[in-house]
Amino acid sequence: MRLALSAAMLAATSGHAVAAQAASDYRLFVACPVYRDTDSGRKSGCWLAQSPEDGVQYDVTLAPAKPDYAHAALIEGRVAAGQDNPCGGIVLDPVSVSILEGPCPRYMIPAEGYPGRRFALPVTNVPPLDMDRPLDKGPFAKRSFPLFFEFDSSFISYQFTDYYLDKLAHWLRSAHPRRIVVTGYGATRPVTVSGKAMAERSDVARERAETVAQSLRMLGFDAKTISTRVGRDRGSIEDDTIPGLSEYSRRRVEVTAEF
Amino acid sequence: MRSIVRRTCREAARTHALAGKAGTKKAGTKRESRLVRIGSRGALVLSALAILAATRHETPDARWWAPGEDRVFPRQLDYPNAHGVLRVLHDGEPVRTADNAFFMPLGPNGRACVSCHQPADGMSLSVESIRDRWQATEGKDPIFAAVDGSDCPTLPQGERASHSLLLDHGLFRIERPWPPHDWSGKGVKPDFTIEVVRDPTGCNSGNRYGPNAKQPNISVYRRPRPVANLKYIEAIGFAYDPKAGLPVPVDPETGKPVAGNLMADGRVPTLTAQMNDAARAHLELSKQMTPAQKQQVLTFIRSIYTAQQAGPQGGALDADGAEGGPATLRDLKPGQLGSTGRAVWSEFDAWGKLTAKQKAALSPRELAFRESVARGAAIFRDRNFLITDSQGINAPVGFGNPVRYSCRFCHNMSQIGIDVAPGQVDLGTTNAPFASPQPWLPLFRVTCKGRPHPFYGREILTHDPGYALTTGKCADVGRITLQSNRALAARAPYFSNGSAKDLRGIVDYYDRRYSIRYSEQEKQDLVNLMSAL
Repeated sequence: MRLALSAAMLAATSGHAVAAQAASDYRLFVACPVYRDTDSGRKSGCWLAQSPEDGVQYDVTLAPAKPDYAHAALIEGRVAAGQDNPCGGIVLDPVSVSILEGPCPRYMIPAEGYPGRRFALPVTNVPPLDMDRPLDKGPFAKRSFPLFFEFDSSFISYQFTDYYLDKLAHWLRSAHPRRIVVTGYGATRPVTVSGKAMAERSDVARERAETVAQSLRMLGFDAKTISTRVGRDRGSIEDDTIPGLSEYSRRRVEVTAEF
Repeated sequence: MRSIVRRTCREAARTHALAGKAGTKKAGTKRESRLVRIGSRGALVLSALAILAATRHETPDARWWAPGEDRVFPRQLDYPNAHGVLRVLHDGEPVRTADNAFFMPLGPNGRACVSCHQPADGMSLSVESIRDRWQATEGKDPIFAAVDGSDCPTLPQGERASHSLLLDHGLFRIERPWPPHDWSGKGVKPDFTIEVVRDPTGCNSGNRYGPNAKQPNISVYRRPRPVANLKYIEAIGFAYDPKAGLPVPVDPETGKPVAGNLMADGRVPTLTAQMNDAARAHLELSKQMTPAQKQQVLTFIRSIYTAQQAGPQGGALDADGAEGGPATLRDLKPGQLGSTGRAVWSEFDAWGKLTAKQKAALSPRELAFRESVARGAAIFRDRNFLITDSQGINAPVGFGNPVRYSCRFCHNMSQIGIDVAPGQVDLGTTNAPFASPQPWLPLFRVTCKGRPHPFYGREILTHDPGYALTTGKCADVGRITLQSNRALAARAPYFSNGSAKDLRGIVDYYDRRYSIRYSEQEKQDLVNLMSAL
């Protein structure tokens, strides 16, 4: 994974998000989600959201964390190249959804002929403990791993952030670094989304760092080797795991292994 | 064989006699229905003789194991019940109960662990057994001890009314400190306040009991959990707890990960800690059990496997390709996720594919039962419905609210039906508006001081805050640890608060809660499946 500051991403976060949106496949908005009750088996329902910016209904089902139809959602995504339309919306992929505290009316609509998507176990699925996992082979050198979080949250999400935490823990077990530095970041500089200024709580960066540090201790890493820091909001980064999701990338922890 | 018949008939006669005594207190249809049930039970007992005779194992002379008796706990015990025969396997050498701490009354109230974890009741305690004991001992059995076998120790102990929660609903009083303590005993600062709205037992009011007492506490009322099949309860399948957004919890004493599936409110990390808690709270020991006693109990309870072994027609639940019964539990690996390994309740799939020859060998009723069980297993796994507003599922895991899945979404561990992850979920069984009306239980108002609950908002009315009494978090109010689905036939009523009187009551609750709209046949198939587990 490469970590790099991107001038284009910085431009997006400085307030030119709407203009950037119009000119690209990038979407960032707040909306009340709608559940479409499609049935192609377990976990096959559809999640839709209308962007106030362009009035288009988007399919956000592919987000690792799904919405709550009783609450507003912050949605960030890119219009997918392939549009198979299983849900009746423009597919965003990649896409992230953060559940906000603002209430929404619970709106569920029927399938109306849309099939939804048959559930498939994601690639980002932590293997069971009884699976044999040989240690990674060296050589090992200083390396940083990012982990990403939903808006205003320090929760390590299932079948996404936990997967990357598990991967980095496996690497750390293989590499035996002398020090593990856990730095938390928050998107504390406001961004205007759907007409509202949005910024995360000032203490969320610290919470994220502490959550990840606690997790590493619970996974058996020596507490003496782990230190936590709070980083300033330096803006977005590029990462292969969340390509093009600049706002999501600001909400992160960086775990750095030093030798 | 003759001795088995004599003993079994004595058992049926004894229960008839008890029914007669019970019937003098309550007139009308209740007595008649109890006698019908007993009569039916007697018939079932006799019909179950086939399986007992075939296996040459014995029903013990006394169904009840009293503390301090000198008996031998053998490798196998079979107990008739209304749904057939329950089998208890002891995977070890026979145990002399006089020498084993599980059976010894170690404290001042005369109880032993076995008092509330009876083999005939799947190592739990059924309401039927509780009532039998009240009758047989005129309320003097140690299970009725004031500390938690009565609605409140402040009540007149000689009166039936003072033990109504145990006698009518199978509930013991569980006193939790307020504010909570964590696993290491440190105080937890809760993010909610709690007030008493209704206190029918009096055990949440006054100077000694309740959140406003000198030493604040909260009394809730719960069913005893079965002490059997524990390798499944202790199994850890994955390194992470998706409900907590963290790795699985760690025992503060040993530093080792634990499964997080012990007790309704997850208040202890290990069986040893549970033993310490029970010894203090239920046996009223003033000091801990000795290490040798604890080891005896641990060794014994980890050796016990229990499940239904024969169905209502007397047919074996491991016949014709089925794998019912406790031997399967004993022999297979715990901690497996059914969706990627051995499908949940696939033990009965063979009954959905019986050959013509197999079918011809069965009575119509036995065939109908077996096919119903197989359908029930398929319904359990594959009948999807929308799950909504259930903390531990719809939040904070990220599955979405609502999410479409089936019973096996939560009941996902093969062979046992608990959650492979730490399984604290709010089904609504203890929280308004979802909970069934239970005017006999206390009612609390929880007010969330920090973030509101994602589904209930700022205020929650609850009979039992559940996991929140351990974590101190408003978001955890009403989250209860999933229970083993085994030996259900032996241990009514169900759910942590006994609110489902029978197996049908479980199905009806889910049907209502999630608007599943099961057909009558589907409901019966699920009941038959659960009766065979």
